[in-house]
Parts: sequence; C-alpha cells; structure tokens
Amino acid sequence: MTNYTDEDQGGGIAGLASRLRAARESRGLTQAQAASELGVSRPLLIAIEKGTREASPGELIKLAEIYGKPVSELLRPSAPPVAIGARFRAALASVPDAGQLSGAVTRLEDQADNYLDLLRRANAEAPGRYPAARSISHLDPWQAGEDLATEERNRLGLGDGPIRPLREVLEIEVGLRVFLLPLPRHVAGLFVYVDVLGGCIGVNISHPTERRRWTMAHEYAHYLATRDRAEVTPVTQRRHQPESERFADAFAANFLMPRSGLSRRFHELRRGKDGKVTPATLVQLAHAYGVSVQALTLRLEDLRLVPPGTWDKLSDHDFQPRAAARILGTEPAEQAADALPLHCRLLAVQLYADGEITEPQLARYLNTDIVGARRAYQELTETGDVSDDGSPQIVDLSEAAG
Amino acid sequence: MPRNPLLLDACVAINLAATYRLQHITQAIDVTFTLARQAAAEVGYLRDTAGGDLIRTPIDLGQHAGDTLQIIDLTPPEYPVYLRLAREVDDGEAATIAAAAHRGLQLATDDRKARRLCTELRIPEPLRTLALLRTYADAAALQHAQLRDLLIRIRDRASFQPSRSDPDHKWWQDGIDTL
Repeated sequence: MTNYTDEDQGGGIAGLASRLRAARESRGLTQAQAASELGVSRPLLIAIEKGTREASPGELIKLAEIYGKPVSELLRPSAPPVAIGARFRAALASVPDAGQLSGAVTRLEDQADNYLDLLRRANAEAPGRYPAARSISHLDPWQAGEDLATEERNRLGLGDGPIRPLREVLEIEVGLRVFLLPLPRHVAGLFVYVDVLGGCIGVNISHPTERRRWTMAHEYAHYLATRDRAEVTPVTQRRHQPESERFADAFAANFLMPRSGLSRRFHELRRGKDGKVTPATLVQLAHAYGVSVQALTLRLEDLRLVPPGTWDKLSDHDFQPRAAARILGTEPAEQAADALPLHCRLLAVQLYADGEITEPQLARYLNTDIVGARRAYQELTETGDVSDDGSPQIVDLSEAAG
Repeated sequence: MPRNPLLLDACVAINLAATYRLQHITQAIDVTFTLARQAAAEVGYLRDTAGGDLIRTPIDLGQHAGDTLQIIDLTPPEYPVYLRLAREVDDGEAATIAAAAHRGLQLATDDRKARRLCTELRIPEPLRTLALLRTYADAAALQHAQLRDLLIRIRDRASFQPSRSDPDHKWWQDGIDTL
C-alpha cells in the first residue's frame, strides 16, 4: 500500500512490527495506552504490532513521536536486539538499583542495534577469532582462571608481557564488543551474549582506566565460561565472592599479570633497588601492567612475591597510590573514554566518508550530536603528520577513494 | 514582500548559526531560512571555549523565528516520500528532501548522500554552505577581516571542514589563510 517497508532486505512489515512493539515496551506503555494516544482501537494496534495490518504513513509518524524514536530507526529492516533485555531480566531481579541498571541495559540494546545496522549497511561482519566455550564446573576457580588465562594468551600470541591495548585485543582479536556505559557506582560491568553480535561487555564509564581494564578482563572470563548467562558484576571485596566471580577475578589477574612475566619484572626491579621492595616498586609495576596498585599488590601476595597482608599494611599506613604515581610521573594517562567499540566507530566513519550515510546518521551511530560527530570524524581520520600551516593533517577518505 | 524560502538541512543550519549572523545573511541575500521540524531537532550544539575549557553551546533556532527562520511541518501528501527516504537517511534529511521535492523549494545541503538522493529525485542541484556564504559576502560587501572572522567561527564553533571537491574550497581556504 505505502511501499515504505522493504521486503527485499528481509525485514519488511515483520521487522517494522517487532520494532514498534519493542519501542512501545521500552517507553513503558501498554497497548491500550499507545492505542489511545494514537487514536485507534487496541485490536488495531495489536494487528500493527503483529504485522497483520500495515500502519499508514500518518500512523507510523505519530507512533514514532509517541515512542520518542526516529522514524528512520523504526524502519530499519532487521528486528531489534531485544534479546539483550530479555537475557538481563533474571540477572537484574537479584541486584539493587535495578531501575538504573535497566536504563543502562536499554542503552546497551540501542548501541548494539546501531552496531548491527552499521554492519548491515557496510555488508560486513563483526571481527574476532571466537574462542569455544569452556566448562569450569568442578574445577578449582583459582586454578581454572590461571589455566584459561594462559591458554588464551597463547592462542592470541600475547606472550607474558603487559597488554597495553587491551580493549583493541578484546574487540579485534577475541571478538568481544566493549561498550562504556553510565552504570551505578557499585556496578563494575555487565556481560551478555547474543547470537547476532557475540559477547557484549558494558563497562562502567565513570571508573578509573585501570579498573575498567580489570572489568574487561573479568567479563572476558564470563564470556569464556558462562556465556549463556547474562552477568551484572558488582564491585565487591574478593573475600565475599561466589565461585563464578572468583574464577573471573582469577582469570583477570592472570590474563593481565601473567605469573612468569610479572615475576621476572618484579625481580628485575628488586635487583635494581638492592633487593628492596618499596611502594615505588609497586607503583612502577602497576603502571607497567595498567592495573591499580591494589590489584598488583594482591597479585604479588598471591604469587608469594610479597608477604601476605602487604596491601592491608599499606592501607593502614594511609598509602595513597595516586599521589605516589604523581610523584613518580607514572600517573595513568586518562584515555578518551570512547563509549563505542572501535570497529563500530570505524565502520561509521568509513560509511560517512563513502557517502553512504549522512552527517546526522554519523552522529547517531557515534552517539553524539552533529558537531561532535564532525570532531570525531576529524580525530579518527587525522594522521600523525601536519599540514604546511602546522595544523594536523586530515586524510579525506572520500577523496582518497576517488 | 515575503522573502524566498530557502530550505536548509541541519548541517548547513549549524554552520550558519555558528556565524552569529543569521539575520544579516537572510536580509542580504533576501531569503527566509526554512527547516523541517525533524531537521531542526537535529542541530544540537556548537563548541565554544570558556576559560580554556571546551563547552557546548545549544543552538537556539527559536530566537530567530519570523522573517529570518521558519520551521515547517510535513503535510500528509509528503509522508510517503518522507518514509521512503527515511529508510535511507536520518529523519531530518528525509523530511528536508521530501519538502523540497513536494514544494519545489530551493535546498541547501553539503551532504554527499543527500545530494545524491536529490539527483535521483530530480530535485534541482542544492546549494552548499560555501556558495551561500560567498553570495552573502558579495551582497554585504564584507571586508576581508570580517569574512575571515566569519569563516573561522564556522570552522571552530561548528567544526566544519568543507570537502576539497567543493567548488568554493579555494575561496574558503584563501579566506581563512591569507586574508
């Protein structure tokens, strides 16, 4: 009738129907409320949501307004990734501040939807060398964490040194999608696996860089061992953790600070200081591995390289790792907190450079406004060189492609 | 006499808003800037610096309502084209192009995808930001220093970088670099 859906792309009325339903639910409206606002009967709205009756152009535009969604998003040919919210339902039932977390899950769904739409437009696949799922049941969590971390490092050819570009390794090599999200302070991260996109990690954007790295490695462990279960990872003391969390922390510790490499570097530093281990040693090592001084010290305690209780002793003496790092010049560089996976950002930029999407679409995919998208585009296409006038040189991808 | 409406997409509107001279421009080139409601909703913020910090300045199109700028709503006969375009582009661009196609209005956009869709719909070639500015600079007989200030505002506040294939790119570069 109206020819605004696209059966050829596999979506058509069915895709639109499922998007309308998801948009209404995400807005927290019942079918009766939505029908009343639209000025139609409830059975008619149900028929539209089932795809048995196509919404008229006027109805569709009005529904987009009621649901606060762009029409262009409702018209995407694929169904929205509602599985993310569904999978989190059980996990959210057992945590405090579920309301705030539910907002973050909706945001994750939206961002995953944008990523999928970019992949469709670019006719591309998300990158990654997906590892098989592993079973850790009946194994000692600590040992299982160490074994799996070593195995993964070997599979990815990472050796036993520090991994500086951790997020890139997880996104490009492993195939995890890392999103930085505003989460409640006591929540470190989220993990969910969905067939269409693979393992998705949400990391608390307000946590320090080192903590975010730890969270990424921790959620990576859930991806390897318990990917069928959505996870909400609280910030907890390790003494009070269930087994699955102890396993994930053990994996994170071993993946970020492998036994052999850490021991070697520790002894090298110690030799340079006449065999002494000072707080400065700990600060330097933590900086090298991109972890907090607390995580580093607890790891050294586990490896018996420093006496048990060293971290508690430092805390009792009011040791201030940040202040120490400032004095030693090893303060972590606060990296730009790019909320979206690198591959997702690059896809959007390339599609824009190729004239396949508009500037407002680039802004939407990059989760910013139009001027923000222009700035991001210039940053992502800037080379290390400078132009004749001394300003940063920008490669115009559209012109480079001819 | 009413001025001629000139349809702007959100991106061109942002560039012009960055100049602080929307009213002067419309008077000098005898047009009323016209935005589809969906495009107006997309304009967002400019970037300014205050005390060394980068801040976001909201673009308030409402203050220019009247002869300078009008916001239009699509009418039902325009809906089908709008929805077909919205499968390809954002709501603002789709509504702007649908209005240009249906009402036969002159359109201004720098967007490659939008310009391609205009060609497909046989809409007369849209203006670009630089062509508009150049017409304004000539009509208002801007001094070189005034023009330079204007262009720098667009570059810095709107982070605008015209494509090298823009016919007026050299005019822009000369205006910023050498004057």
